[in-house]
Amino acid sequence: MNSHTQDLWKKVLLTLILAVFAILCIFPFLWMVSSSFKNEIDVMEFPIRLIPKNINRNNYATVWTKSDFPNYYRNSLFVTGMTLFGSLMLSTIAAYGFARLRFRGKKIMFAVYLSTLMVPVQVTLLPKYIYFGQLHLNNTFWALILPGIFSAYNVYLMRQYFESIPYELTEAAEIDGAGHFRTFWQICFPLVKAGFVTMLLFQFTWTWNDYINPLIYCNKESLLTLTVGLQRFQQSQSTHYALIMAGCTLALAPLILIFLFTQKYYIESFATSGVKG
Amino acid sequence: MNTRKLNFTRRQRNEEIAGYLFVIPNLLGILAFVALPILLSLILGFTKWNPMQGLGAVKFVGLEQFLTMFSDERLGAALKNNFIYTFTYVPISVALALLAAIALNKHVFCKVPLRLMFFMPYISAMVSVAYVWLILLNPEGGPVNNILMAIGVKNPPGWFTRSNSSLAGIIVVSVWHDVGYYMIIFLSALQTLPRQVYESATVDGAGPLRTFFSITLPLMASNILFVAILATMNSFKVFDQINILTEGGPGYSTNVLVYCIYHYAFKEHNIGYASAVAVLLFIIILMISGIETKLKDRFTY
Repeated sequence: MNSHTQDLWKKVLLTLILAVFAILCIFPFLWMVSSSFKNEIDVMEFPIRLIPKNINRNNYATVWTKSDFPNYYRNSLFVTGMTLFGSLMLSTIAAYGFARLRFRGKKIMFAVYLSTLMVPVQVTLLPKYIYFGQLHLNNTFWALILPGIFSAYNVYLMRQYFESIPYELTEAAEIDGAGHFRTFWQICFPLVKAGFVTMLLFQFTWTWNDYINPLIYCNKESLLTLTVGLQRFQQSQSTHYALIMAGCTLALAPLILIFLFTQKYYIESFATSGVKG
Repeated sequence: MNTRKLNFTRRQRNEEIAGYLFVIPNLLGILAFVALPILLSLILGFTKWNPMQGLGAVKFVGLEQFLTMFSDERLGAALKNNFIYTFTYVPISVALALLAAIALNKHVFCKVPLRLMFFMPYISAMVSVAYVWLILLNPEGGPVNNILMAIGVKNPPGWFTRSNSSLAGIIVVSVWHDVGYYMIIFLSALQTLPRQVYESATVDGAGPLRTFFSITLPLMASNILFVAILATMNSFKVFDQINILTEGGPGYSTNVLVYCIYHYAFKEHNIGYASAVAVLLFIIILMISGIETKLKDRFTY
């Protein structure tokens, strides 16, 4: 055997080992989708059949019509949309200010941002609960949207991208008489698109999947988002596994689909920014 | 000369005003929704309060609640469980992530789909996948125990229904969910390592094991530290899967710090004591980042 074929066999072997682990990673998803198309009685059958013997298409219709899922979707979309809009806009603008403009007090202000980064949200759950109670924000979407919009992490992330733009570019624009907002919008913003996409995917994933905040601040039935909504649905179904799996599939589908279509950006974004969580 | 100076200061003033306009909308929100709650959280731990009785019922009790912690069985169990969780979850997930990243960085087929499959659990909401695992790990007829019995395991674990295996079940779910994230961080670090070092090692006849221990491990030390600290931080924030799968039980077997905070505040309506536990969590997190800063200097090449 020459060394070339030996290398090929090594490559095949390594691929196979990795493939086994990769299949372990996605097996729960395959099992979930497969069970969501099964009759209740077939869910626990063994040996496991990933392609159902009898395909049952009614589970999804049952979940969609007999539960509040349409409403959960609407609420999740609204909360995520509003949070993303506010956060991307305000964080980008503030990051530009911190990165490119000189003003008094900047250092102290940014130090506040940096010090809040160290404190996980789990520490401030209770003061926020009391505080939102006083402002009558509990059990309104604002209890989720307002704290979601103001992210020190987003500002910290975008600031690094703005700082990497060479100063010659903005000086030239200033000499041409461009105001600060124009320099920001027409010259700098197009150059930080990679950072913007990272921030967008991070915030989208985090807001869409958020469980502890809706659980505490916004748990009135009509205002439930998908995560806590799914929990309520599960509690009402107890052992109707096929229906629960259809519900889980419905809750996961939007994000997984977006992930599959944008996986390159998704993975690169998460690889370069491992601070939040 | 005079006009130039005037222009200069006017430009400076313009820049200053612009700076405030850019920063202040965000800064006010950060102060109101992030910084103020942090300050309040420090104060709240020293008070006793039942939210049902209104704000007038807030009482300062000093260190009293921190002293009660020493005799609190639930909290003691939570701390113990949290440390067991940390010392299994962190090494297992970091080691698996590193090995997978090294293998994926070598010449293998189907790199992109493999990477995608490893990463998929991480972007999925914990709530949804936790329910899938609840059925997969069902001790009565669930697929995992069926497989275990088929390969000859006589007494497969009771997972979330038994206090001796529930924490193990939580760890399985957490490792599965997070390992892909740590892997892609390692993968992007591996891609920046210098090729020449590996080539000359191969020329010198170093085998894969030797290469791993003498080149990859030392070059990756600072990245491994970063991911290990990140995983440790995450292990002290674990909550979603526990509230979904076990609610801290059976008994106290899956109580952890954040679950304790939630339990005391919203099941027992004792906001003051729950806040004292939150302060404890805060101190632990600060200690971990302190350790990180100390170690960083030693491991950076």
